[in-house]
Amino acid sequence: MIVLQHILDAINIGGLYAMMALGIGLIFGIMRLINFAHGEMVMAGGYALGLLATLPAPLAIVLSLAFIIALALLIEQATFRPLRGQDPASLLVASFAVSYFLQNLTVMIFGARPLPFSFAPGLAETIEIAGLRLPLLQFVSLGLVIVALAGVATLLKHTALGIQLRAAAEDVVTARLSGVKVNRVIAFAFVISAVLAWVVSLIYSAQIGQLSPAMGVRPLIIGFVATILGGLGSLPGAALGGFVVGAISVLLDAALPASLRPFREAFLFGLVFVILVMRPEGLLRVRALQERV
Amino acid sequence: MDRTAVDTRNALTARGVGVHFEGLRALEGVDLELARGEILGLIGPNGAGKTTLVNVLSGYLKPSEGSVELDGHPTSGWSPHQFPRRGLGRTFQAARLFPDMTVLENVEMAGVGIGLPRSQARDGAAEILDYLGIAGRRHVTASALAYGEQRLVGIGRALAIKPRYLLLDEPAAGLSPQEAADLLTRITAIRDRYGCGILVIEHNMQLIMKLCDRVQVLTRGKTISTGSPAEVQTDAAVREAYLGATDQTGVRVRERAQAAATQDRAPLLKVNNLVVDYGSVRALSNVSISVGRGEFVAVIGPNGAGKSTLLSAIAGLTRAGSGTMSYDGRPLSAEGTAARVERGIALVPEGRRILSNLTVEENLRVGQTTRRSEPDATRRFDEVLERFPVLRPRLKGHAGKLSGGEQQQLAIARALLAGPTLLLLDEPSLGLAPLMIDSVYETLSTLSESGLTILLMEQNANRALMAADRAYVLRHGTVELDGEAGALRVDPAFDRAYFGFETRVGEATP
Repeated sequence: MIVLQHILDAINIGGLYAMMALGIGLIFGIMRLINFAHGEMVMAGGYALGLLATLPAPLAIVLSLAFIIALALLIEQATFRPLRGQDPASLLVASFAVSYFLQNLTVMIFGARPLPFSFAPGLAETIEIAGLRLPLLQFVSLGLVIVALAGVATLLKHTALGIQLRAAAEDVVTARLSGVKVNRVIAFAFVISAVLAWVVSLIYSAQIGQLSPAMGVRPLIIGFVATILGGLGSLPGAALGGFVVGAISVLLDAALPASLRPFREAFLFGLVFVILVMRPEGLLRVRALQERV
Repeated sequence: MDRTAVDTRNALTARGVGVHFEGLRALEGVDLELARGEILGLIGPNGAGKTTLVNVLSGYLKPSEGSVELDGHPTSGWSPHQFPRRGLGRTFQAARLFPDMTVLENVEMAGVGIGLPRSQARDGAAEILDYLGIAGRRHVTASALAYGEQRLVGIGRALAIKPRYLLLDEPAAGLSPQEAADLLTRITAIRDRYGCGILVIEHNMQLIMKLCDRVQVLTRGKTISTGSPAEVQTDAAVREAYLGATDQTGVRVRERAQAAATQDRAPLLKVNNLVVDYGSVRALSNVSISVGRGEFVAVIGPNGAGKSTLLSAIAGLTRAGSGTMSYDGRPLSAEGTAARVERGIALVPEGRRILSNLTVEENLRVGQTTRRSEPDATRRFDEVLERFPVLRPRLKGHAGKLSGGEQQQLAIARALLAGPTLLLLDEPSLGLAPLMIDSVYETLSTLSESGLTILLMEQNANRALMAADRAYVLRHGTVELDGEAGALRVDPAFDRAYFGFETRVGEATP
């Protein structure tokens, strides 16, 4: 039974990282922008949910989701669009600037001290299945992970905008020649990544039970590592990388002696390092990136 | 010239060099000899493998088979930095200077790179700059130089290693005619001063023929001709490598009665005095062409003539410096590419640019999804597939797995799905086997007969002239000649416009 618990943990944590990695990978694929401000989308989503917790749950969900999407579009229009076509390093630094700006804006408004996260307290209740007492959150987050990942896959595979997005990510010139309006497609990519960030913020805030201005940094770093691990530029790779990091993390938790457990992440990143040395191009190789001139 | 007596101890020699990239044979069994004191020209159409060969000779690329010897020493075990230390200097297609270093530092760096002490490298660099006549610019940062000066500094850097052999990759690319003429004198002077062997890759045929002692011609990775400039100029195989075969049996030459009539009507596309600059390099100067509704027009020209630039400008991928374009009676000015696609202009880009990680069907749907509002989109999809039956069984497969010919068909099919009035194609025959080229042109002829207007850019002149109604010859960014395709095929002025010199035996060369 303990094995089942570990598997459930691995899927949950892995799914969270996979969603972070996808959110980062989507933007990178189409703009060659490594978006460090993605972590602040998670943070903003958490604050929005926490502050709207007094409203009826459906209303809080809709309003916070709308807020995150609007924020992502605003950042795209105000910061990244004017810089498009610039050196990737300029874009990277701009995303750092946005990230710190949002963190410090949050400190200014809500203070640096953590706030309690009180949205849907029912999630903390435990239910008993097959002799295991599991928090309801585990099942809710499992469901959300499946729905979000399947949703993104369907969107990219079967909708018109999805095909245009994948085309533009592979070769912007050809996409333009096929009549794709690249501005619209980029905005679409930001919307999807914002929705993914919102799902992460719901699960992650409930897990840690509090909100803080820098709460997005840790999931961002792990999501970023997962993107690289999967093969930068490949979306299935990003998702795979997320699950691999999640699985390693749970395995280490189970296998490490209690005295070493606090240093789990040192082992985690050490292992990621070893994998990258063996497969420097990531788990899934991307041809489009290599052909790009 | 008797070439049997070459002393390999004083020559750069390649024997049976082959280079294979993932199934593609870029070079196959190529021999090359560059003696000290001679100037050898290396020419060939796009994709012939010229730069690959220079990369092998200079140690940037390990050959898959064959060997390279420098002064009789095999180079196979050398690491890249040993080549310049043994006296092999090269320049690149782009000048590749260190942009934030001064001119002097750039040249000095090359001397330091072969192990000279800093002061000695500096003195050597100053002396070279003096020799090249750019000593006055020594403290200017490289990025601030004009393009022609950058190329000169690139040569200066190659000279700083005291070369025994000098490999120049397209030294005249982007230079004005005057600058190219100066370069010619310069290269000869360098040979005399340093006594080195010089290998020159160039698309500027006039320059090659005036400059070189010998010329070697590559096509599709193989040597097809070697000899004096006069011998190579009149070699039928060389002319065919550039212009395509003339005596193709079984290929239909288009008979078009309406060709003359189409020109009376208002043109569908009109380009007037178009000028495009890339930085300080002029790619197109005052190009004017017009394409009538339903016409099949070819623009023919060697590599670097400005063909792709012209198409990019029409498709809205490149901004024009000056000049006007009109399409369907209205100006084409600030509209982006997507808007031009909507107005009916579709481009099949050079090298096909299919999306190799997407399936064939997804490649086709990209164009279709952008105009979903049209009710006949599904019907068009079926029509296009009927035209390209090879694609149907592969719809679900990855496009990257298709052969070159199939990829070209896919690229054309993708453009057709946008429902174009004007189809632009950039070198559709590039890199295809002759049989595949025929099938691509067969498709284009059928499309033209069904009323589609086609504007085609080609190096493969004979094939294009057989299919088109009218043609323009573009060289160095200028229209040199235009006329009926049938007339151009036999016009003696054609070769002069294309190559810059006569190629047919029996005609006087002034």
